[in-house]
Amino acid sequence: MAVLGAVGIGVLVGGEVLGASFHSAIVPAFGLDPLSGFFLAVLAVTAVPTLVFARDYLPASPGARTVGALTGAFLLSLVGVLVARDVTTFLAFWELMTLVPAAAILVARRDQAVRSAVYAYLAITHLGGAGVWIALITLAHHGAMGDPSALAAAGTGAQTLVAIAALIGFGTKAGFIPLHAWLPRAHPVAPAHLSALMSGMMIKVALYGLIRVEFQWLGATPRWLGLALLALGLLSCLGGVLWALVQHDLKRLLAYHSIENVGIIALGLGASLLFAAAGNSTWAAIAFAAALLHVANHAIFKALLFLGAGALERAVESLDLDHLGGLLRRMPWTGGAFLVGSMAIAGLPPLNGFASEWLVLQSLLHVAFYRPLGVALLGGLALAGLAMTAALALLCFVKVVGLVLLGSPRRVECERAVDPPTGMRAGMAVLAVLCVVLGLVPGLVVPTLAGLAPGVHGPALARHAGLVLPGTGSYLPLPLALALAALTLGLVGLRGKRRAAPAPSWACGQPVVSALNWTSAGFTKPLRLVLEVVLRPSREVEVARGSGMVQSVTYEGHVPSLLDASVYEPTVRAGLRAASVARRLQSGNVRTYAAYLLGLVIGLLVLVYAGVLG
Amino acid sequence: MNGLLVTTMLGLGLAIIVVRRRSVGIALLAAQSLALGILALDLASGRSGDYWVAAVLLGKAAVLPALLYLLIRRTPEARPVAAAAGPMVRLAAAGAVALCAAVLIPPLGLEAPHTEHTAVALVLVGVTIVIARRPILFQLLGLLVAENGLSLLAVSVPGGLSYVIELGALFDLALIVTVAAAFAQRIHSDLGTGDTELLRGLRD
Amino acid sequence: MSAAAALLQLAGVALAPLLPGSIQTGKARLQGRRGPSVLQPYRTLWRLWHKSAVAPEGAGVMYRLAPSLLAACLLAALAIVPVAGRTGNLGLGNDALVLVGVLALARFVLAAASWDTANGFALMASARELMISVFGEALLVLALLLAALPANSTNLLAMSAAAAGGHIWSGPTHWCGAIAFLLVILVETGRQPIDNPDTHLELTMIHEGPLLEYAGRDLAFLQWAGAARHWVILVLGAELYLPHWGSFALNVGLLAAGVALLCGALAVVETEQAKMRILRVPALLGVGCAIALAGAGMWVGGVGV
Repeated sequence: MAVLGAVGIGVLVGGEVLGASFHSAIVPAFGLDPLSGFFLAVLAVTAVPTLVFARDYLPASPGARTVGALTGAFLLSLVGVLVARDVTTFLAFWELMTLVPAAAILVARRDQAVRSAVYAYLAITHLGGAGVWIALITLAHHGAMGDPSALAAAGTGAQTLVAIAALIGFGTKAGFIPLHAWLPRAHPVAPAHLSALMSGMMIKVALYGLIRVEFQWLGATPRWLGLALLALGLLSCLGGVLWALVQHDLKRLLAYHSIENVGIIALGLGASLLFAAAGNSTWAAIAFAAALLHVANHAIFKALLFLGAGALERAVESLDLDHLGGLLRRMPWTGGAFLVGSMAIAGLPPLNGFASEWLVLQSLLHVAFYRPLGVALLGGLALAGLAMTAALALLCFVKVVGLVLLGSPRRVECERAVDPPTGMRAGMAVLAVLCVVLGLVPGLVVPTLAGLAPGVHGPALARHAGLVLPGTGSYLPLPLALALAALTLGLVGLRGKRRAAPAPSWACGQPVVSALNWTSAGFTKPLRLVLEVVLRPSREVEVARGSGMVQSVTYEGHVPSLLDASVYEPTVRAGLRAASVARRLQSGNVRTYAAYLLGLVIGLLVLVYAGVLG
Repeated sequence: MNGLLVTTMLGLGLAIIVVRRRSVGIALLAAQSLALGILALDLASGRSGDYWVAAVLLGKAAVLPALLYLLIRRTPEARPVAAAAGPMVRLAAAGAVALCAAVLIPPLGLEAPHTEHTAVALVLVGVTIVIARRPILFQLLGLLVAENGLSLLAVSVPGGLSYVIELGALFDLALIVTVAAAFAQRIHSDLGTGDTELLRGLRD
Repeated sequence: MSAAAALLQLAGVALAPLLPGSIQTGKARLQGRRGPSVLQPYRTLWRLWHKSAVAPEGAGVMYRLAPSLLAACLLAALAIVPVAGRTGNLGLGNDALVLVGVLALARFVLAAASWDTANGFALMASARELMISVFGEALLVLALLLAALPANSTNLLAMSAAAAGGHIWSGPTHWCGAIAFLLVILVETGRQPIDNPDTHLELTMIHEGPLLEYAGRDLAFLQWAGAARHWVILVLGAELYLPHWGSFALNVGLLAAGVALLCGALAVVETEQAKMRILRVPALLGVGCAIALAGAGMWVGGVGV
């Protein structure tokens, strides 16, 4: 474990040189430049608390040493992808980054559900990941890695191919809808710290690849790519949060929220491309900075939430939302950190989630100022969509906070829960503090991020503590936080310490029993009813009668995953059918195989003779 | 005389695909390997390494057929194994394959085009033997015929092929033959026959 | 940027309860009753101030903290909204999107408090309110977009200045924005047809639900916060979507008249309309969003600018 901690600290030191340009030559295999330095810094900032957490979390889980070693390998592969400078190194570490978590998940758990989840993860990421291979190898073929003009010289056909392949390849790994199906399967079954790293960093590294290819090496700023990113982002935002709302398992819910946040980052990137295509480099830089800030913020609060979920699972065994409760009082550290993380991800001021969401909202609003009409309308639609997403995320996390932390405990294990050991608490506390700090002074980081945008020379934004944008309103979180804190304290003082009369909750006068407890499905019911067309929930009610009276009522409700049913299952069925057809070629007979061999040789000879080959 | 030896080798290979008895097949293979050895000796005038190669090939002509004969002595077939196709069909197929090789192969750079064609034809005929014959032993024989063809090519290369490579090839071959012989014995003792068609029943 | 404006913004603290009071009086007169006086909310606040609070079983720190935090959020919102085209520069900026964020924080706090008491009625009301807010927030942001288009900025001062004068009303965009903002006012103040603020039936409550569990000064804070919400959204509406021009004093007068007009309009709407079925509210708000998007499209397309 100490070795892994040292790796984390080493990464931290290596990543700290943001802004100072390292050797960015392409021919050597490894190097760092400001963009990869930023991602490396985010990785370090996320990984160190996670490793501190894992130090106390792992010894109690099965296969601790193997999982710990595999976590270290995973971190190394992430670092490798970020510092790789040529095609082979990048692809090698990319594959390693995909395979190591699968191995780590299978070490800890081996049951059928987990195995099928891991298979789905590997299959989908590799199928989509073919896009990465195509894009990078085409780039290397044209000598365009690091040199944008080379691909521009190769013509728009090659550019379009690279752009689409990279979008599909990196998008699958990042979790854009409709390529997301592996995310809600793989992330929940991993150990908590590994989920934190996967959701926090693996997705971001995929976005790093996307930024590199689409922004820096493509050699052009096509408007259709910006529109595609906006559309994909909007789809991912809304789809991610809608399906998160109907989940009962906390970790699966958090996995769907990762999809939503990746959508927000895509919205920022799309806006940046649209600004660049329209020639407005200031706002292109601002939108780019918004996306990168959200990358950092999401990594931090998502890691915090997954670590919190892991700590909660350790304390109460099960993460079914309807059977928790009252944990804020019993586990103050974990509960407090989880509360901070939830408020951050719901996008509430003055925490860091609101800072980056505010920036993205500003960018989208300014996109809506532009002709052509289609761009403006899509910008407006994206703006409304992001506002809806923020409100939906707020609903979802009020529900989570209420069910997990507030109210009274619903199970015996919840009453007896205690805070986890110091290491786990320290990891979570560090991340929570980071959420607050990044929320209060985002303006210190944003100008540096704006300078990372492609095509920007020199500082685009002045450096303030808050977010001051040229020509539009500004967000000053520090005064806001101070004002809120001061006013709250003042009002609490005004409220006075009069003794409050204890009373039961009002339930029309009847005693409050556990059957009256509100569930997750109940809280989201109005929304589910309104969005019936999109969610297609199904329900079954069974009433059992005995001797003329109702004995029991059973209710089962279910929201299917639409994309699974309409896209993935037919594809899988067709693939299996094709495979069974191809199986007829495999007769198991040595002589048949020798016949294939002979036929192949003679066929090749004929081709050579006819001059087609060689 | 070299041309005659080469043609003899091809004829013996074609004969293996036709014969019924395993002992006759082994004898034909022995004759083919002997012809190859004599050819190597003939071509070896000049360098000492070539004599070594010729000695190796002659040794192979003696040892491998002996091993195979011991094998068939241990594993008598109770009934004659039904063939996949009649002998005439097999001969015609092998002939067609040899003709394809002769026509289609591009010039390989040996001095005698006849040798080239024959060598490649032998390789392909060996593969055909593997396809067309059902008993395990004949499949082994087919592999050995193909190996003979490769050796013919190696020997005829101007400048001679290094004996290290020859030895390596021989070693692999010996290994394969030994393992295959062990398997054949085992299968024969389990099933009572070496018919590969029945081995398909062992699947699933 | 002036002391008078700062004073006016701070005066909002005291003047806010006047707005729901006047709406109630207006409604009563329209319905043929005499109704309560305009100062009734002040009397309610005074009465609540002298009562003791309640501690429901199982309620924790969130329950106790929520009313103070909510009132603090709305005080911050009061400082962000400029009055009569000027702001008192109270240090919080004047950004429209920050205002949206602060109001979202207020919603979160109240909903979390209702979870802390685990009261069924409060939770049902919170669920409905959050569901409506999903669409309401989209509509609010789109309405702010329409106001930001002439100003090219999200600074409320710039938006207010760009909406001054009469020329902005010549194109269809501002009319679309006005319609959308009217719907926003209905959502944020919780008036019919979206919500019935006078209801006493717990099963029909949307905004009132979480207040069921509070008493004493806590409830006073929450009532005041509701009034402050009226102030924030009505003043914003008058700033952005009602005509104003001229000097500061004239603007103050026009603002007062505009707010009074909006209160009257709300009273009329509440009297005329019955409460809409809650599951149909998103459709209404969706229509508002479509109108707003059409307005934005027309602006960018250059129609009648």
